[in-house]
Amino acid sequence: MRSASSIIIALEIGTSKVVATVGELDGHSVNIIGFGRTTSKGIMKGEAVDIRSASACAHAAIQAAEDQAGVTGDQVFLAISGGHVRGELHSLTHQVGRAGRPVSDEEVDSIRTLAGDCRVSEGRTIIQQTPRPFLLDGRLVRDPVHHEGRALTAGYWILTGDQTQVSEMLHLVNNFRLEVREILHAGLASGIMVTTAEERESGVMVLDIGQGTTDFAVYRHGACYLAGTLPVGGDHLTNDLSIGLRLNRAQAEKIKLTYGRAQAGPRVKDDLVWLDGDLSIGDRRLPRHSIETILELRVAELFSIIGKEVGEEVPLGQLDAGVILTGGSSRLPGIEDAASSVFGIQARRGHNFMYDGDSELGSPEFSTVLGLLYYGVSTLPEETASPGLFGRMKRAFRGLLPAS
Amino acid sequence: MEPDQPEAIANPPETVNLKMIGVGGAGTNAVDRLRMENLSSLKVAAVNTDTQALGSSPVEERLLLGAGVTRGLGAGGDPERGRLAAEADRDRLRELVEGVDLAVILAGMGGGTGSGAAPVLAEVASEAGALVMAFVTMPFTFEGGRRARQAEEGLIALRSACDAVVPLPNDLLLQQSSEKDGVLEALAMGDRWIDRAVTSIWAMLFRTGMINLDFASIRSVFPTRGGKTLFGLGYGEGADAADLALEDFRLCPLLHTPDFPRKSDRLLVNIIGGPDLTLDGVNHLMSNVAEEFGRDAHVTMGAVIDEDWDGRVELCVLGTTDMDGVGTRSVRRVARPKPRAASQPASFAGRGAPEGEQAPREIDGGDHAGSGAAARQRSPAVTATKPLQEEFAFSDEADRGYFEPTDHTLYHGEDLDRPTFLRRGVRIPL
Repeated sequence: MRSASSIIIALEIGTSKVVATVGELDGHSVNIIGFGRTTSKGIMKGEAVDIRSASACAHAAIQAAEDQAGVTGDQVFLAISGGHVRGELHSLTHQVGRAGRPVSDEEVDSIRTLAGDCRVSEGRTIIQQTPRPFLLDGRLVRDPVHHEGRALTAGYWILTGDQTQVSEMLHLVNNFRLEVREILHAGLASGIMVTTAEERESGVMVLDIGQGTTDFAVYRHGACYLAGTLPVGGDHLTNDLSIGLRLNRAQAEKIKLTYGRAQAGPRVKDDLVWLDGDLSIGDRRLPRHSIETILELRVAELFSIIGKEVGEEVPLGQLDAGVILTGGSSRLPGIEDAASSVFGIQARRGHNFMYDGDSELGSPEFSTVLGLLYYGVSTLPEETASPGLFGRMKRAFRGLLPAS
Repeated sequence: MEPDQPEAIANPPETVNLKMIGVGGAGTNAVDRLRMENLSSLKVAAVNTDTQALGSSPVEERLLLGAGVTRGLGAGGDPERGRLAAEADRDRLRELVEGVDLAVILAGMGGGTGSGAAPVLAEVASEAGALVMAFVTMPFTFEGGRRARQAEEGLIALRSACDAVVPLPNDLLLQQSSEKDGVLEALAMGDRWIDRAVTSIWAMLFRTGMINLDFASIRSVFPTRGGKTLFGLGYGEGADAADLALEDFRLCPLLHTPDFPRKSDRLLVNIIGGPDLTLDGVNHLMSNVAEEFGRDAHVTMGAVIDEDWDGRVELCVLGTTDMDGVGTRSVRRVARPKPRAASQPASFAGRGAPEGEQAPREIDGGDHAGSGAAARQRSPAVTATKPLQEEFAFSDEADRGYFEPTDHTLYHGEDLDRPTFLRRGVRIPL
């Protein structure tokens, strides 16, 4: 008999889809024993605009996943995204090591606590606090205990969200006899899935370009330096095409998927593509260059805004492992080139490398939910004591077949 | 003007007094250019705060506003100065619109005189009993956030004082210019759109057509104010001119922006064609337009035959949204003065007047909508007690189509929900 305590559910309520996965910890390996997916309704730009529809979608996805798993879970890990998410650095510097003594455990603990103890303004709630490495007299120090120095700086990147938005998301799940045990920013969840420890060490930026939002996370020295969300995604690409080419949404979506490119090729006169191509009434021809130009401008803008936001905290040139793109909209052809030309560093598409199965879960749009499951499993109580869990979990994932 | 109304209905449309008034630099330029069209019975006037710009205008009827406020030096890009200048010369504005049945106001939003004075003129013209339409250009995004904000405020003020307001975003007009056009040509695109619209309305009123429209039926399309106006043009020539005009109309960029409603309750459709235009062709166009853009539409149609238009068809559609139901739109009208009060302290003192006068005026129109409209006019008094609505007055103004249910995605003053190519002024050939 499976015990409920080793079962967790990872849930992502995204703009395009709601995905639930049920994972089971079995010794040192994780089995994905249930998978449910529904097309989202009532979610735009990562936020619930129609609670009733969004709730129905979430329940259908969880139900499907549990049915497949044959168990009911009670611990849900939920991904959070949306334009209401804001990030900021909260850091503190204290005098330490008085009278030439090395830094003590107590000093480190107390400054950690102080730095993490931050108040958020009315109507905001904390989603995540990720610690940055310590700085001792300006030098990066993993563990400052026993080092000598005078000024110790501890910093947290604090992600906050709109209280109403976050609690609405929680209610979507809580109404379904389940309880959200933890929330995780979608960018961080994806980051877990598509980056290696080595990449996080040398510096890497993860961009999860979804349908409604682009979630990002930047890692250096093995820690998450910053993360955030820009509520611009694939929907904007479609909307731009629809306005620019005077198409309805369905037509624009189809054109995006069929002919879309993130960088415009050289202009070829009379390079036209058919809207439907089936000789139906109302079919017309669209210049390929126009399609590509609309998308190129939007994608370049998206990247340059993120570049600007990130660049204020971490110079992009220091991210030696470059940029990793994931999320459904990262399928747009040419997007890596567009990213590297805007960011000025190498960019590539990520893959859910910890997931070794050949089901659709390997696709970029599932990075968040897999990362979330992985994170959820790593927090299960039996395992918290074991150091090096991360590495083992990774192997465990690799060896697994999906429940498909 | 009130006593003349019944006559206008009874008599042939020649008695209709149509006046086009350009306000501010952009508006004056537009009337200067349009005047060349030389449409008979169309009176033209130019109003500005800048003596120099006004002096160079070939328009005979010119009015310098607020000499005491601006000393004839212009409003310096400040709508408050433009408004004060207009308020100072309310009496002279009233003379300008005395006896006018249809006032067409042309202005560029974003600057001082256009954004500030045009709403005052619209208000004065309404008070004088005229049906007021405004065609206003909206600044390019690259002109900056301040101009965009001033333009939006000017547009809001205009909507509450006009029967129909057609905003023409420069970002979008650029899309219609041809490949090799420079910036000046792109800017002149706005004029061309206004030209076509005014010509179409003029033709409806003054040309004898296949289907004649009198002023009263045009008036009946605009029973309430404050809402968004659907506006689109289509042009076709050749053997399938009517079909091409319909196709061109469907691709009209104005119909695909969030600033225009997708569907209208009342449509005014006018077709100008040559002698080769058949009743069948007209019927085909009308039914297509009504089906696609009307919401169980009340369609008022006109068709004008012009000898010079052989093999060419122009389709012009104006649509309005009825301000009924829960009164959300009506609230907007009442709510406007509040948010503006902060930036423009002595704001629009006479605002109450046109609202009050509107109801009787519409009953005068003697059409089906009269009584209903009068009843709706009262609803604001009830809904205006909800102060919360006022907070949203600005954001619900800009209907953003697909992204409407969500918050604006603002980044350094730009709304990222709007297409990048529009904000960057990049032309996308179709």
